[in-house]
Order: sequence, then C-alpha cells, then structure tokens
Amino acid sequence: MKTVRHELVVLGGGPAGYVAAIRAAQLGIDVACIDENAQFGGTCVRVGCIPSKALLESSHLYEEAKHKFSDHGINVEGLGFDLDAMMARKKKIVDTLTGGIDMLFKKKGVTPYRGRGKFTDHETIQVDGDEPVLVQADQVLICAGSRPARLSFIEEDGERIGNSTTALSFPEVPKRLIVIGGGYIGLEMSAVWNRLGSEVIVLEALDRIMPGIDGEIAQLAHRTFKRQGLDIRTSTFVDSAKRDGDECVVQIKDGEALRADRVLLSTGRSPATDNIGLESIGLETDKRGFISVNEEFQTSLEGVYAIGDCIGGAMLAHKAMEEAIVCVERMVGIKSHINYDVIPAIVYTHPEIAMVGQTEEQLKEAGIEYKKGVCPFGANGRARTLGEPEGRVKILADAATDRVLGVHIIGARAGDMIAEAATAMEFGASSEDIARTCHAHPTMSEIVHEAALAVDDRAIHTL
Amino acid sequence: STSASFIMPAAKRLLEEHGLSQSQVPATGPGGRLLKEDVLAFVRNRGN
Repeated sequence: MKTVRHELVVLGGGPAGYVAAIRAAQLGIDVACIDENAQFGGTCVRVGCIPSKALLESSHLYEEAKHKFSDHGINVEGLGFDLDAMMARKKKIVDTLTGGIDMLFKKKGVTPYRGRGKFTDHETIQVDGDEPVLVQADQVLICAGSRPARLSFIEEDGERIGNSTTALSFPEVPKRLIVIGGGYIGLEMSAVWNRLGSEVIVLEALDRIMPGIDGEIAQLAHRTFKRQGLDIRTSTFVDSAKRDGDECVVQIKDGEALRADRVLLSTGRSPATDNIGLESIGLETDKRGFISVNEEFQTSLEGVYAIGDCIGGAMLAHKAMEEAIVCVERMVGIKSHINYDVIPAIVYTHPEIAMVGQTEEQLKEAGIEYKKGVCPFGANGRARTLGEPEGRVKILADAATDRVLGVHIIGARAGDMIAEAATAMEFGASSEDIARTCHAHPTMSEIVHEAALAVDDRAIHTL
Repeated sequence: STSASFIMPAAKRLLEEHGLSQSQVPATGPGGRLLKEDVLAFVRNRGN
C-alpha cells in the first residue's frame, strides 16, 4: 500500500475538517483532509444545514404564494409545486457547495483523500478508498462529526422510518408524518412537510419543545407552530415504532397507537467516533462516544487533536468552524481564543428563532439579576412592509452593569438579526451601547435597537 | 492607569456626566475598551 506523509492530516471533511484544512494551508502547513464520502462538506453541506435550508425556503415560498400573495394584491391561479424540482434544486445547491470545497482545496493547497479513514497508529491513518493509502502525519486532527442518534425501540428501516437524511429526500409528500423529537431538526423538517401538505404530529418527551431555547420564546414558537397546523404533543413518550407494510405504527406509552406513512426520528445526534480505529491508538471516548480534549483541543495522545461535534458541546456548524480556526492557529503559535459564551443558535422555521448568550431560565438559576427589554415586530415599519408583524426581540442585561447577557429573537430573519447581538456581546457591550448605535431606517435591525432602548424604559416606538 | 484604546458609547456618556477623563478609569473591555460597567464601578468606588 502506498504511504504518504504530511505535516497535518485532518480526519473528516465537514465544517470542522474542511475549515481546519484550509486554515492550515493558509498558514503554510502541508495538510491533507480525509473524508469517506464522495463529496466534502460533511453532514452540514451534504445532509444537514444546506439541504434543509433549501427545502425550508422552497416550501416557505409555496406557503407564501398560497396564503400571503393576495395581501399584496397578487393573484396566483393554479398554484402547485413540483417536488422533484424542489429536490433537484436542493441537490444542485449541495453539489455547487461541495464542488466549491474541492476548488478551495485545490487553490489553497489541501491534499484530499476520499475513503474511510482509520487509525493504525497515532500518526498513521489507513484510507480505504478506491486506491487504499496510508496517510502519515506529525499531527492528526480528528473531525469525525456526528450522526443521528438511534433508539433501540424505534425500528428504523431508512425508508418509512428514518432520520433527518431520510426526511430530506422523501419521494413523495407523506400523507401523515410522525416526528419523534421536538428539537430544531424535528421542527424544521415538520415545517417543510407540513407546508407541502403533510399532516404532521410531533411527539416530544419533555414538557416543552426546543430545550435550550429561552422558555418564553419556545412557548411563543409552540403556539405559532400549532396555529400553522403542527400537532405538537409534549410530555409524550414513545414505546415503539415499527413498520407495518406501507404504514408505520407508533405506540405511545400508556396511550394510543398512531399510524402514519412516514416516521422521522429526531431525538438528537451521537458522535461518529466508533469506527475510526480509536481503539488501535488507545484513545478512549466517554460513555456517549465523545472525545475529551484540553483547551488546545489536544486529546490524551500527543499530536492527536479533536474538534467539532465529536468533542461535544453545542453541535453547531459554526461552533465546529470556530474550533477549527482556533485549533490550527494555536498549532502554529497564534494565541487565538474561542468564546463559548457567545455562540449563536438558530432554528430556521418561519418565524425563525435565534438566540445568543443566556436564557432567562439560566440567569434565574445562576441568581443573576437582570433587566429585560422587549420590542415586538409589529412596532417596526420594515416588518410591516414585509408582512411580518409577528415576533419579538428580547434583550437581557445585567441589572447592575447593563452588560448584555442574552438576546432572543423570534420572527422573520431572526437568524440574520442575531449577528449584531453576538458582535455586541463579543465587545462587552451594554444595552445602552446598542441603544446608542445608529441603526438604519427602515430595517428589521431597528427592532434590536428598540429592545435595547426598552431595557431602560426608553423605547420610542412602543408603549 | 493607561488610557483605554476605545471608549464604548455608553461609557462616553457616563464619563462626561461625571466629569471624568478616560485616563482616570481603568478599562477592562476586550482590546482595552472602556466599558459602561468600568465607569459605573469607578463612580461607585469613588463614592465610598
């Protein structure tokens, strides 16, 4: 078998891996990147963020055409959609972006290897691709990512009962879709198929949807999703789900048996660290499969690093990308840092939900006294012109210092609006600093401005 | 203490209201920025 040697080899080509590889190449490191899939980009680009956002947008536009165009005086007759065309558009976007990574690798000097990579010793990875090769490197960065978590009592067949990957490519719109798990993946896929005509039932074991999102915002979202037609059942445990011919049967604990033509299991994600040969280098994971690292992202083995979903923490693409930059820069002596207190999170339903910093529940639990400023979207001219008067921005600031501790947004374009809050928090801003920053009019960003004013009861456009 | 590299907008207002100069107040913000909370803490301690 051919043996090649590099200074750094990155195992996994997702947001953690491809970003680490590109940054390393920029810093003059001879770097290679290994991925088992035909396309680089990882979960996010191939079967996560990108395809889900593509379908969310297509289904949203259909929904708008059906229900909101008439508000603008636009008449549409014979409205319909072509699911195959939607899927083709999604695929084209994915292909373009993964092709973009190939191009970036080429231009920036990253050597790609396609095939499943497994450690044979701490500085050697065997790649079982079309041409098996042994890749040796002084340093190895594990970016193994994650995969949908499975549950023993859910009999997935990858077709009628499947995970998020399955739900991104249903061959036809399910008549009835049961979604097990009310987190962001379950709710985003629920939105897609509900808009396209499915009856969707969401089963959540907890007493609320979207754990991790501020309670008040999650409650507002729950109400809105219900109004949109989702049948959300909280505090509902599933005993089993199995296929029965062309149908699926989901047995609710102490309850009824629900039938549906498709079932999506979306109860979380597990680190994909079980088949990369960690045992052959003596690197142990915790019970759930996560790799432990120190502040420099070093594992217990010298020269072996790990970042992204496989080390735990928030399983978000931008968290992995941030770790990639910091990890590689620190390898060459640049003392960069990652601030885990300021990592935004977004749910791309409509309305979108976005947050950064701490929730009210977290502040209460920590005994931190805080002030709260709220501005509803309805008070904003731009939101009105967009036909998006529903939503709110909530800013939480320290009662004594006025420093912004958390910002929570529900409403159209919340995901883009949260960036300002993250930047402000990264600079240690007070709510007054945001309030004294001139915001362009008319823009949605003015809702953030008004919420900042509202922290000290100085809002101009609300009571 | 050394002068802050940048004064945040709310800190600027507070400095002026309390008749302080930026060189009097130690800055703790990222990159040596003078924060509102720095001025608030300075004013509070001076009061004691």
